[in-house]
Amino acid sequence: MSADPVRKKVAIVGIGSSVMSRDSGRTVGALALDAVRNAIRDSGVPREAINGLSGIYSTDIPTVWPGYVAESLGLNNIVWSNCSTPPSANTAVEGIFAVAAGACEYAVCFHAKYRWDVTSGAARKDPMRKSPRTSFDPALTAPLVESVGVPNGMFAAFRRHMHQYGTKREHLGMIVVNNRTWGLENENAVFRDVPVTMDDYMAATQISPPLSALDMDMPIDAGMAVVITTAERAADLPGKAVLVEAAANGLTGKSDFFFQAFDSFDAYSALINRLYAKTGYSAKDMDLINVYDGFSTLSLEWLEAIFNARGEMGGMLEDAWDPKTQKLKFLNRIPMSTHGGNLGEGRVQGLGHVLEAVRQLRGDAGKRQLKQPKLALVTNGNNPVNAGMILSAV
Amino acid sequence: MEAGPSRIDYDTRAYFAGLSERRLNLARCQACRHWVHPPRACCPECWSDDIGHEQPSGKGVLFSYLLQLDKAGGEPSIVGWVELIEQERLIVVAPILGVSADKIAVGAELTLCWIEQNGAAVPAFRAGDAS
Repeated sequence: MSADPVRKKVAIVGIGSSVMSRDSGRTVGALALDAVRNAIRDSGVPREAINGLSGIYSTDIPTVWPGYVAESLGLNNIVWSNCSTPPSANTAVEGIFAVAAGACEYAVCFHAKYRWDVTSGAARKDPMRKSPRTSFDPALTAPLVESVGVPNGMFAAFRRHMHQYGTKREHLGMIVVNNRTWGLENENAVFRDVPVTMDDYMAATQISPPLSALDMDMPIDAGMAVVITTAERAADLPGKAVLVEAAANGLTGKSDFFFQAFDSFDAYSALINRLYAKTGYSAKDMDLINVYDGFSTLSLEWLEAIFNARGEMGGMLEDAWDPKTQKLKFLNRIPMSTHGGNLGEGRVQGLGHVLEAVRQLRGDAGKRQLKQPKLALVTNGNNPVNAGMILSAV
Repeated sequence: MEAGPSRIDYDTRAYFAGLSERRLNLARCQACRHWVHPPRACCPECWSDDIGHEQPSGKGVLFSYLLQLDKAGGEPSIVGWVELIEQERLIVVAPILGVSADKIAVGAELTLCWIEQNGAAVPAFRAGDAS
């Protein structure tokens, strides 16, 4: 049997397209939905079995991202999703690799193009071809909410959380202060010299009540990268490796940022449960959790998914909070985001969480080094673009 | 600022055309009767392409909201996520009128009304059941 995980082990089982026309009378989103539905119908795979979804977004002019397709077609079981760059065969190649790797069982890979006003002289005369005013409108919904100032759905989701589960501003404070306190021990953190206490947090000006500037990550200039290879190859390299135990994405049903930001927990849970199912681990097995914190409110729902505790995170945070150290310790043991997260270290949009997990598992975390951690869980994402992994020490 | 939306497409044009007549035209699947907002070219439930537009009753309940602070120091304005009574999680995002920021509460009963913004009609919701 071949050791190659792709050769003779991956097949294309369905194809589909939309009409191809100079003037289809369809939006770019509708064209993507036509192609995806037709491909799935052609394959005979039931809608519920589709669990991989990949598209091209960052092309000359925006198309739509996987979240739009998942929401529009009720694809509620996605555990691998991806948004890549042209040429559009990229998305198929990524799907093949994803299936080969066992990241998903049935992947749909799509791309759609549209004759926007900036790509065709004739199109400039057609009002239906006006390209988005904001360059980033991957669900095509921004114009529907312009009249109320393009509101932040995430913040409305937290307001709903407060109403439904009794969550309080103090609970976000524990997340923020934990990350800022750990950030003081990270010599590279943008806030390495700027402590924040719970009193500071509660006194901060509420810019979008009840949220303050402390709830948002700090914009910085920075780049980060990781090098990935097989475990077999890694064994031949001089450095210390960290193994990938499992990786996943998560997309479920409603996800539109402006209208439907209330179900992030479902998507986060799809991802987390996949990691647990692939490994047999659960939260209690982790020695470190690096939890996405582009906004503190996102951490709240990620934590609920990690600990399978929807609506109970307020109480769990109170149990985990140590006022003496100004840090969180979940289940009396597990620390969160020892590099300070995006809130303390600065915003590279989540890759810092991966780097810190690697440092801790290799024993390279300097003065904030944990005692021989074996397993680390990393989450990234502001629904509907989510990624996560479990890493382990060799 | 120019009146109306920055971009209209095949999926949103019925919605925006309705606004100029002070009608809330929401997409609705004609095959399975599922409401679809934001509007899409097919039904997320049954995948039918038969999307029409209908007007809901205009009654709703506040699902969540944001307070937008007034830089000049006046009363904050309220942006509501209004769940219409026609269908669970059928949400319209719109200004909330007739209630102050310190009195607003999730669960408040709301009724559709219309306001002018830069010379264009946009939907809003007023607290209380009376229209």
